[in-house]
Amino acid sequence: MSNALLAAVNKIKFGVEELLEPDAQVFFENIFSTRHIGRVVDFMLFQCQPFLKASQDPAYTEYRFRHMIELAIFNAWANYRTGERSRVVELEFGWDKQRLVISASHIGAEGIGGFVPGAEPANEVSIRMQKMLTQVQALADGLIVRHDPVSGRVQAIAFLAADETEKLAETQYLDLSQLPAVQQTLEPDASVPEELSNGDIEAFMADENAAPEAAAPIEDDVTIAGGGAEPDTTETRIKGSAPEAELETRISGSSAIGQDKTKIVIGGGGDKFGEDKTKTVISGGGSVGPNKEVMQVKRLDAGAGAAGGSNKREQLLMEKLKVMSEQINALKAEKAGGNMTLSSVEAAGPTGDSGVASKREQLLTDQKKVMGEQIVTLNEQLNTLRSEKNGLQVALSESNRNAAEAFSKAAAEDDKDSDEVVKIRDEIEKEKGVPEKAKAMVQGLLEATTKERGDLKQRAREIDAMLRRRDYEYKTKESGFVEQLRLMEGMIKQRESALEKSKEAATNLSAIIEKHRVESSSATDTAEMTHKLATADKLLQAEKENTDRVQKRCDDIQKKLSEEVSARGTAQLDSAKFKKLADDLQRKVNQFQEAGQKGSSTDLLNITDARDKAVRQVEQLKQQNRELQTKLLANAPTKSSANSKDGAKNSPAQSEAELKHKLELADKLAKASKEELDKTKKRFDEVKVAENKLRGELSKVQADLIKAQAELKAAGIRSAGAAAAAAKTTPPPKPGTKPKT
Amino acid sequence: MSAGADKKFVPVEMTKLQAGMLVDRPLHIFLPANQRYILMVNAFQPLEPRVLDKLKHFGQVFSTEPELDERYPQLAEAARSVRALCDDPEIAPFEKNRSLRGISSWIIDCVLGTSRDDYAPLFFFHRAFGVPKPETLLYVADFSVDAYERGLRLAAVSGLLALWLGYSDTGYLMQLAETVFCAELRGTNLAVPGVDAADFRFRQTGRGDELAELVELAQWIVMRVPGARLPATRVARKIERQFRQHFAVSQAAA
Repeated sequence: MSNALLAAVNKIKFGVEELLEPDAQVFFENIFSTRHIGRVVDFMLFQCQPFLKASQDPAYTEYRFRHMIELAIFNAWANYRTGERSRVVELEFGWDKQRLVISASHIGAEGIGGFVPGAEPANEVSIRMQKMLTQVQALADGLIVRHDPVSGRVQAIAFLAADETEKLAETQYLDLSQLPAVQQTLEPDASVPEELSNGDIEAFMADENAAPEAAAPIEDDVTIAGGGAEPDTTETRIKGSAPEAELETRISGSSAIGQDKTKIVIGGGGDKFGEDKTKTVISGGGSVGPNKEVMQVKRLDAGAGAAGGSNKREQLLMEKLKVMSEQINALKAEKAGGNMTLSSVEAAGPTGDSGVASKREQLLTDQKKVMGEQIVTLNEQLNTLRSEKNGLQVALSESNRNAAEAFSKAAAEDDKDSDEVVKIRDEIEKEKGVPEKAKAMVQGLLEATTKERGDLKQRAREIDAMLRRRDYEYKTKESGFVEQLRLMEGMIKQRESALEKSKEAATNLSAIIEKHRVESSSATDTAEMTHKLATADKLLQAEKENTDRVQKRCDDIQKKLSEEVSARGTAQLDSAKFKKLADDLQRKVNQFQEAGQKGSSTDLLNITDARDKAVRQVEQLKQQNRELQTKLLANAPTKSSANSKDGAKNSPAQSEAELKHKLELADKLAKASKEELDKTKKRFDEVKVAENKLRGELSKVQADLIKAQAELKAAGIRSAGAAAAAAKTTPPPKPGTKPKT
Repeated sequence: MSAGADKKFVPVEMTKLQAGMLVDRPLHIFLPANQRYILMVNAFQPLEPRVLDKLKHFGQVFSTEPELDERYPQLAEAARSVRALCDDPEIAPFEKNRSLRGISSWIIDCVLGTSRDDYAPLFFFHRAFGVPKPETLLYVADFSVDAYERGLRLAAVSGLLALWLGYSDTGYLMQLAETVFCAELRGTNLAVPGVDAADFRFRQTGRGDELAELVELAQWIVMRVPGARLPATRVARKIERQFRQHFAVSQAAA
């Protein structure tokens, strides 16, 4: 059975139904995205429930089926050829009593090879495929891989068998490039249900229970025969005939007018007025029979109206007849001109005149010449037609209405021409005196002429097609160039406008700069700046003097304070000493009083004197202490006056603020003029340098002042507190603040 | 040469005419001085810009045929629904295919049946998927009238067959139709406007490619004699199976 399976699979065209019984169920799905794989697999499982239930272990069979199909799909999807706009994995699955078969087809990635289990993989994709197929093989009872390296198609066919003997131990690989290509089978009377073929769905479904004949395997050895049915000859036209050439000339409507007066063609449509329902075309094939290469189809604009075939045929015949009659007419004219008819030659033949053969040859030579001339004439006609075509196109572009009227006039002429054709035909038909041989010869010549004419037409048609192509290419290029030109013009305009804008901006800027220059170069501004600078210098000088004065005063105060401190210390020591003495004296007095109460009056007098002496000394000390205190109190007003003098710093601060404001204004002005005023900038820089210097000096002074205050505080003198209070009333500038000018 | 004595001309809305569109009915102009209708564009032809300019110049356009939607009332809705289904990523392929076959079943007879109709499948597919694009139509029509007409019908029928076979992806169908339409220009090595990249995954006719078989079946359908039965190809059998399943489900549901 395995051999039978392999034989069934080993062919170019294959479907899973070929591995199944005729009554098998077969389903087809195409997956364009991995999004719905789960649902598709569920659907497939639902469909093949009969097979699963019939198996020995339905759950295990379902498990195997699910994983098998999922792996096959993922293998196809992940290893699809890159660069395709869309991917599709073609799934087929079916089952009968014997087996359940699944097939996943895809176009494999480039360069894959040796991807079946056990082989040597050619690349990474092949390794990946091999892994997946190995897993599929482990789950399935058999795995067959069909690969066509030519087209890249890979088909993995896995099956679950009810019979143990059907199992395939190894994966079978079939290289389809080894098989010969076959032609497609298209049998016209084959077994697709007639109801479906006829579109009768009701009848088709009523026949559903009948055994499907289509399940038979397809034979691969029959060539397409275009359906085998004869094409509708009433709807076709033989290649090379003049009308076909006219029909195929789509744009060159003028040529159609020139050649066939029975038609009017509007440029651009290739459409013949009044004949839109009856046109037929054959392309290329050259034969009436079916041609696989080029189809012979009814022209699309014939629409649904297939009726009127006989009219078409008549029309075709009429057109052919007209061409022939024209040729015969031309020959007749030549005959009349030469005073020698073919009939007379033929008539002379049987008489056995010796000069007849040479005359016939001469006639034939003449005829050849005439044919050559005709060919030349035809060429000229073709050229004329082309010029007419161009003229007509020009005329059409100039005035549609005029062109249409011209067409209508031409149409009127057509009617006349057709009458003439009929007349000519009648004349020819009535001309019974022409010998058969002469007729045959003329016929042959005419055929040769027609053939040559057809060839010429064919060439003209090819040239026309080439011209159209060239024209199209030229137009395409022209439109491309025009587009490019338009874009370039647009860009140039944009740049010009941008340039103009930038010029305007530059002009405005230069005007502003000029204005500022004028303003800055004016004397008033310079004087202002000079005045400001001078004022700033003066203020800085004054500030410096103030600082010196303060410094000096601070030094004096410090000196006085140290003196006072020393004097106070001495006074305190003295007072302490005196107090001690006073205490001693008081104690002695008390002792004397106690002793006086007990002792003599002399002793009392002595003691009283000593006491008086001590009292006087105390009084003197008190006096000295009072004087010292007075002196100290006298120093306090001098400190407060010094403090009041320190408060004078506020006024320079105010002037500094004003100067700062003015400098800021000056700064703004300088910024507005964008540093174009070099002189001002230089001056400003100099001022800045001077400011920095002053600021440094000021900060030094302030630091010294703070140091002095700190030393005063450290000395613990009360006057230092007053000095500190005075310093607080005029806070020193913080380091880093903008310098005051 | 008809002055319109035996035909009834109906006016055509100028606003519906666009350059490059596939004309669905013959378009005429009327010459008052001559009292004649002149055919300007035939059905199935692309409307060239210069012809459209002429029509606009005349102001009024007439046709002997009614509007396509009048002839096929279900065409517009069916085309819209098919496109919407093909674009819908939410629906699973088998559900999508079932719906697609249901929507397009009315056209089976026009393609496969005895009443061969060129209009319905062609305009159905063109309306649904918008291919071939206008620039492609104009280019191929300029290149060869025969290749244009053959390719147009072949592309539409191939697309429909592919749709019925379950190739229900918009991008895939468009690429297939464009490639089939331009198949005859392959030898020219010319870049066809409006076609990004041709898909020749199905060109290996003799190597068992399903799409190649499908195009060949479409070719047979296009060139067959009216009334001829379908050949028994594998693709035809697949289509039969698909429809059998579809209508069996429909009948069971009914």
